[in-house]
Amino acid sequence: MRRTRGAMATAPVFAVAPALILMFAACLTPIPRPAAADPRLEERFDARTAREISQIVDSARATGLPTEPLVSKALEGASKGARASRIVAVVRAHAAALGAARSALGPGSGGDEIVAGAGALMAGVARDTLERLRAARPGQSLVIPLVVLADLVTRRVPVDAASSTVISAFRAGVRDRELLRLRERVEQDILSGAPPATAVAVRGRALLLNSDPRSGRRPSSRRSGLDPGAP
Amino acid sequence: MVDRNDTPEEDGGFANRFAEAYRLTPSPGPETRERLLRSVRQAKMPRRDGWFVWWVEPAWTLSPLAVSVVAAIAMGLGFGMAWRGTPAPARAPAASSAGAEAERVMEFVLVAPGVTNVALVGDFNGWDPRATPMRRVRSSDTWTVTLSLARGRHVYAFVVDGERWLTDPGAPLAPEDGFGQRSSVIVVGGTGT
Repeated sequence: MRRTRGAMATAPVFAVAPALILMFAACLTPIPRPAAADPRLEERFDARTAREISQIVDSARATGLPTEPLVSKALEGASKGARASRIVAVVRAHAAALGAARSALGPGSGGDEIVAGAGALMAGVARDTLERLRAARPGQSLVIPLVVLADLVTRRVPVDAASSTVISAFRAGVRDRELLRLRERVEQDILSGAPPATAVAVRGRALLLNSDPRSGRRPSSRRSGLDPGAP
Repeated sequence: MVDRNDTPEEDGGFANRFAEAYRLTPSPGPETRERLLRSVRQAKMPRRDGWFVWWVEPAWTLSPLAVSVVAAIAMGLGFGMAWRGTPAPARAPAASSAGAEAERVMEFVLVAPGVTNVALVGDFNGWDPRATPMRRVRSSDTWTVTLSLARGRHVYAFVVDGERWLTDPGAPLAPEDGFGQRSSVIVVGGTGT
């Protein structure tokens, strides 16, 4: 049967609508474009490694995590001459630690807190320590307590001793400067030969006593051979 | 349909009679045809009920021009939304970045006897040993450099003679970096509480 010239003009809508819907749906589908890598990554890595790192960075960005520490970690690895596979693995582990830190510290945590929390987790601090720190003084920045905590653990202070000392100090309202001072004194004590656990216990106790205005007692440091008041 | 091979006509009478009858059928005149079409148009179609009646019994039609216009609009919208929906390769804000007014000038000092050059590397300069060379202080063993850093936590180290990495003895240690080296941590503007 020969179609008349005006057949298309009177084609019912159900003959055209599916094609239109399909066309519209196809147009709405985002065109997959390869994610552009950070220029700094493209400068320092081969294309494949840059792409792998960029994928990790993009995933972190999609979940709202800070991404600059990941790029920085990759660049750090490149400057230190690490193998590409090692760098990708470290960046991936760092991204996971960032996610775990944010989960422990809460979604409202700042970028620096998340990065410091990730550092503490990677040093071996337990996740619930981060939660307890957050609960101790909600709304207060945890950057310095977390940096000090990671430093102490890195200096071989037992995780439990370091965690309890920092949590107690933070809960008692110890200021950031005093926490940094605590770190310095523990470091000096360790360099002087004191066992790390003893050093943190003595210095932590002295810090709490000195920061508590109701307490008139001075810590007895003679037994351990350490002077908590020393600079 | 009649298969002529199966019904042979001995005298061809049936076929001739059929052809003759077809020729003699009067063709309807214009008035008759118009009347017929009018009656067909006026005849009411049985209506169906249901949510999807419009799909099988549409009440309107589209011309090729309308189809083209609608398709062009749809494609334009689709490409526009697809383009906007594709993530831009812009860099995310740094975790430790802040406004320029929040930057602070920091001085880094390292005492390193017997070395020929020292550089400061960290997350603030892409860990590039060429980016921030340190200056020797009056032929001494002390090396120093001053630079502005944004508020926040920074990780850094010193590179001595282009190969040895040293931490800052006066700063907290960062956890092991996964590359077999240590780094130091500085928190800019974070100790005021």
